[in-house]
Amino acid sequence: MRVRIFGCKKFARLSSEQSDRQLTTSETRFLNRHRAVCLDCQEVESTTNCALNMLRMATLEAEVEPMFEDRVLRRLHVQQVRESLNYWSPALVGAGIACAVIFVTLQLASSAGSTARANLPAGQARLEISSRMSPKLELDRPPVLR
Amino acid sequence: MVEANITFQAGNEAAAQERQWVSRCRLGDEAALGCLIARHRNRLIRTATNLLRDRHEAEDVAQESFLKAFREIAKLRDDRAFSGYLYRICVRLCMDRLRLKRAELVEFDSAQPHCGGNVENRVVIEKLLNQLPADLRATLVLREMEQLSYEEVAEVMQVPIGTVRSRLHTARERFRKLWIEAVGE
Repeated sequence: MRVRIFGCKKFARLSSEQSDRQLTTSETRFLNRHRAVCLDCQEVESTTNCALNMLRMATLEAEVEPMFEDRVLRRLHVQQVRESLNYWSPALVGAGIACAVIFVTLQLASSAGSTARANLPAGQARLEISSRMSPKLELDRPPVLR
Repeated sequence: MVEANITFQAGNEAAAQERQWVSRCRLGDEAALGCLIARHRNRLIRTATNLLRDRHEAEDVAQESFLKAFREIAKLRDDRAFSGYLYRICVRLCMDRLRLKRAELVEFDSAQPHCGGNVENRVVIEKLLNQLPADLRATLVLREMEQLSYEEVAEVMQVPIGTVRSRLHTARERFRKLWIEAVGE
């Protein structure tokens, strides 16, 4: 039967940290003493080391595809064009709408003039003009003698 | 001592060159963009590959990281911060994708083994990593595979060092348990 010994948590922490930093003399002494008497911690430490070694062995090396720089630069250009389009698009859309409004207004104005003239009965326009604009002949009226 | 001095000087020169490239990029110099891509692509793709365990997706993420970084390059206050900034973007994008993947519940059978090396081990490792939450997985991979220091992991993941320490401890413990289950099967 295995007996848990006081300080297993501390051992686990220090055992994990010994690969990351230089342990002090007292910490190393504690690890050695605990390792000698606690079989559970001994086993945990060895399986951890084994698992971490396997993890390190599974490290993959970088495989850079050819033309990597070109691809990044091309994507960068595309991104810049897209961003500039995004920046200018509200102005372009606004200008387009304004052009369309002006065009439609001009069209409506010209068609309104022609329909107004077309609605008059034949000869009406001339008559109106003649009655309003023709000079009155004052010759028929007898002269007033003072 | 002399070697250390030479390395330090080389590092300084590289940093100065990078600052120059960044300031030229701001002016729209395409050659400088190319130089920055060439300098960082390998590390970026490697990290993305190990985080995502998929080469095609990793390349896509690396490209996206460059695009995002270049888009924001004018807003970057410190020219020296470019590499850290780029790396942060890459890890964040990877974590976003991992969260999406986890939501889709990727099955073991769908894991595609990569060519070369111990294929069986890699497939098992992929299966185990898929079962870890995105933040634990990223912390574990950055520390164990990418060999980043606590400070670097904290900077890249934008969390305090204490959080990195506790996440790493939890991730190692969970990975060990998953490993025992997988080996016992």
